[in-house]
Amino acid sequence: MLAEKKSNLILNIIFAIMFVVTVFPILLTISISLTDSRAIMDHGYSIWPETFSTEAYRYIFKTPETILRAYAVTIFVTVVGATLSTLIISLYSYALSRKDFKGRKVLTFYVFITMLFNGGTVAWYIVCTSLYHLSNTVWSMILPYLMNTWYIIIMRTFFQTSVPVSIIESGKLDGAGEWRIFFELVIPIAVPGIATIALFQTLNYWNDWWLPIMFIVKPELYNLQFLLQRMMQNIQQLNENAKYMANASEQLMNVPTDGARMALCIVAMGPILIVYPFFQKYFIQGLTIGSIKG
Amino acid sequence: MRVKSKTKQTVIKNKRISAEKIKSQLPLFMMTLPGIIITFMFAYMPMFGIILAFKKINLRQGIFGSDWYGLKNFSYLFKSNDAYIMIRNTICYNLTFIVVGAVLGVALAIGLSILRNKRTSKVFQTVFIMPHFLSMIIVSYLVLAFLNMENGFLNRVITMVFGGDPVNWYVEPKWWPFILIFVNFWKEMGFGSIIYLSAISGIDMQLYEAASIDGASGWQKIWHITLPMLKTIVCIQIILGVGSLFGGDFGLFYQVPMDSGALSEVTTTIPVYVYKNITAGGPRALGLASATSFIQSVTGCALVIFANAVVRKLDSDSSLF
Amino acid sequence: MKMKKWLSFLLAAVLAALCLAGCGGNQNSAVVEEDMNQCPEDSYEINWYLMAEPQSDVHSIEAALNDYLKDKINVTVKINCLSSAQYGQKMNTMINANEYFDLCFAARWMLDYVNNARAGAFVALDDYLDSYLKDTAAGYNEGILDCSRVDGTLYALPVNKEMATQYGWIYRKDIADKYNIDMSQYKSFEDLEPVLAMIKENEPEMNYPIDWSIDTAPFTLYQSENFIFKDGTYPDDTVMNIFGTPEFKQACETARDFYEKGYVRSDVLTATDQLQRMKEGKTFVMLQPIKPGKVQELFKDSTYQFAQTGVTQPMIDYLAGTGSMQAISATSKNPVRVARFLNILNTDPYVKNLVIHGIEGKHYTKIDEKTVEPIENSGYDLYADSWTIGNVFLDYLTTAEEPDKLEQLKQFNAEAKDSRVNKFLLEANDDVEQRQAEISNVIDKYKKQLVVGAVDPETTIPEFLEQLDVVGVQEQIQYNQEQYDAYLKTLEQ
Repeated sequence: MLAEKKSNLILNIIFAIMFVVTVFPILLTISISLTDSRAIMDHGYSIWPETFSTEAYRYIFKTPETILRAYAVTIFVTVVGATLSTLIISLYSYALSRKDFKGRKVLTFYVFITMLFNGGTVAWYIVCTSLYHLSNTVWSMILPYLMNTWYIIIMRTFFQTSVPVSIIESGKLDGAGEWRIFFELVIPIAVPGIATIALFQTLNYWNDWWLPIMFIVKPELYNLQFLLQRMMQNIQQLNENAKYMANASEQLMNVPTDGARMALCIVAMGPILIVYPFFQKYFIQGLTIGSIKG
Repeated sequence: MRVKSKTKQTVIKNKRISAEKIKSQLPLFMMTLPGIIITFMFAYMPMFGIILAFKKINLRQGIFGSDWYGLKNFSYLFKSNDAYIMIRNTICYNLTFIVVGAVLGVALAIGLSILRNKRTSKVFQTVFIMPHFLSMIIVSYLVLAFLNMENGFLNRVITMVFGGDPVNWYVEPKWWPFILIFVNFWKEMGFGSIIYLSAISGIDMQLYEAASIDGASGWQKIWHITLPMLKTIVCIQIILGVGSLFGGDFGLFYQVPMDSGALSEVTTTIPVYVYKNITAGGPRALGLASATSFIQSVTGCALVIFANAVVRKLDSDSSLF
Repeated sequence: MKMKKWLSFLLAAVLAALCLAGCGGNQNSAVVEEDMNQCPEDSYEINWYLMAEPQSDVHSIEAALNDYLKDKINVTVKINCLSSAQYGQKMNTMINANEYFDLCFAARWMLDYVNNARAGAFVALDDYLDSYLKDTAAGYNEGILDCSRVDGTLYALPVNKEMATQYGWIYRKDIADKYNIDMSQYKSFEDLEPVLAMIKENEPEMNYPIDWSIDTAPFTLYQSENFIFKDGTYPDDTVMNIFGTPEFKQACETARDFYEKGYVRSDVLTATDQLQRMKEGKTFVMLQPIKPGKVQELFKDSTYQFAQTGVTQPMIDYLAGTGSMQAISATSKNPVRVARFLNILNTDPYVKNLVIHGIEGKHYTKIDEKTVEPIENSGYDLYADSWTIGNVFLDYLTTAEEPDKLEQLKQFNAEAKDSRVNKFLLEANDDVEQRQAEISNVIDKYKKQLVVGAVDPETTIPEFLEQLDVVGVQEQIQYNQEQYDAYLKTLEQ
């Protein structure tokens, strides 16, 4: 008994250290974003702002159009993308979960193959640009992620294990069509699974920078992550044409380069950090049921 | 019993009432249609890419108009030192990620499951999962906050606490294997443990109680009950992981080291090499990128099938297909 | 049996994909001739890619251009700006994938004009020179178009600008005046050292008195003193490995010395916004390629005073015509119309100034016939990138510039020394290309950090040279020498 108590204590200590290691980088980033640029120049980054200042945030929101636009693009892409893909994935995997669906095996194989084998980035890019003309369209940041084999497998298993056949049978006896059965009987039962996929896809779309790197040139279509990536090279692009310095009243104010980058970083990850703990319950449940082999 | 006889009937009447059968199957098929189309558009259409690897690609002549090039793209690839470096890097990193990832994930899950206080356990889990939801761009900023030569936190600690010389992190390849592996586990370890943790919570508590009565210690319970119960799920995770042995995360190796040329020897993995060649000019770039993609695709596929076969031989329940 | 069914199904899917994808290639339509004096009836949209910072009010410039061009050649123009960091990657991807666009910036140092031209990425312009591009062609100095040809064919139109390259110091004039420093007497980085030491000592605001990037570090000065290009040097017609020369070592040692003494930021490799830091007054001096009026172009909106002074001789080197060009893409659906647009851009002051300065009253105010004053925060100002577009001799100058800048530019061109290597192009077969690729891989790996001083040359240069030998730099030098000798022979004839 004593030994168990002792190991429990050791375990708690280990986890506490890991806790600090996990959280530390984020706290450091927040601290940098709130440190006066002069203090950064003199003392470097530190975990507690030597001289507290909100100049970095004031700087990045000086001309807020760029950031707000990037926010709008990200939100649009995330909402449309996550909704569409959750619907498409749920429908597809529901059909696969139905034992009486004749195309079940072929269509499982059809998506499974894409997990094993692909044509490579070169061909993918050529197809997307020359055939579908996705360059510089908001759809280029939505369409390629709509299907995901891994999520299909999770959802199919989820439907198989959590939706009893009897419910579908009873729906049929009541004369309901397949679509009505799906939307009115199946979806309410499958909420944890659907929420899992929805959350994952929301995060995938929110965090995406790969598609804009490949397809987006127009600044008005930059999403948050891509803006962040571009800012790494050139923070003053945020305040277009670098006219900030010319503003007479703040002539001597430096561009808080380091702070502004980190502030932008905080602005981009903030919503996720706030929202995700509320979904944690759902996706752990969804993953649990979906991953046990059916 | 009822269901079975029904199936039989359907088989017998198959030809006669096919119109009715189609009608009953149609809605389900329609449900899969959007998925079929999207998959076809973005996964099947690009599969012609496999022939690009054997072409002297000049797209001005069209994909089919380009001259055949035999295995020359491959021979150029393997003549250069790049091929060795990137394949070595890709395999070594991913193997580490898969193997150590499984061990750490299981260990973390077991640890979390035996914590006395379930509330703290939950808090720990929430925090450990969090980094998974940050994009690699953001992670690269976090890493920069530590490794910046001028102001970075690490150099500050090195100079002020230990009185050493600041390290120019972004040009010193020797540190990067550790940095990248650390960043990867910092980001993914918590998320990787979710599945194991939920598998553990599904284990029948009576097994543990029975073992306690028999006088088993905590270690013995883990060794004889928990680990065997996790075997299947670990196998599945490894099979899935093996598929990315020749691929892996592009962002980790491209964004986090800031695409620094000085680090290329330890950061060039297959996806990075492919991306660099797509965005590079020159007559050979596209051929090299296609050849590399081809190798990645074919080996990835073969490895999954192989891993699955091995697992099926050892334990048929654990295999994926 | 079942497996077979699946496989055949899969095969069918892939085949269908192949057939569909096959239609993707070969989208070039036959070139349609047009009557030069008439406005065509069908409208055409030109997708134009520029290497410039993106501008927020670009749409009003597009609208003004469209209005103006509608009755002339009936085109609409879409301007896409990409910052230099993005430009090469994005455009190379588009060219590699044969993606559609009409017009782009290209140069020998960006977007590899020579190799992309050889690969057929750009439309050959020779046939247009005495038709659609007649007026433009007449405006060039003698010989410039010749320098821009690849294997005898012209694939892009050089920007008509200063054709010579000169390096010089750009520095904070107020600080120089304060300490009575005459920058024109310093002709090398080594000479400059005492000045930097003094500034670092006395001006705490300037933690780092000098700043540089890979292209403006000490090595650049050595490089432009000699005739050096891509893979070797040619001071006395012998090809050599530039990285094995004592000059290279000396340059790296100087850089390293400054770096260790803290004259330059230690994170120059990753913190690449040198000009921004200069603009904010954090740097005393930088080496830069200069031309008359460069300082005013660069720092027109800074609160500090800057000045420039030449260090090297102006030289017409291999970048003469190919240093900045506009190329018509082979994927353009109507190259003739794009050429006609290019002609207008190069000859019509209204169009050129609209593209670089924006709209009068909105983005700039006109002071007199040829001088303008940009309006701050107007959302459009590409004047700093004028050298990548059309003909700079059409530009309206800004009030910050000397009024005779354009005459000075012409003078600058006239006085520049002509290098005889500037028409030399390396021929390459498969194996040579392969070797070149490997050599440039090795160079990518070592050169940057050596040149900026981030690593110790004492240990790194030998390693670098060894790696170069491994990938066959000796064979490459020999090959280059043969080609260069042959070139010199043709030059004599």
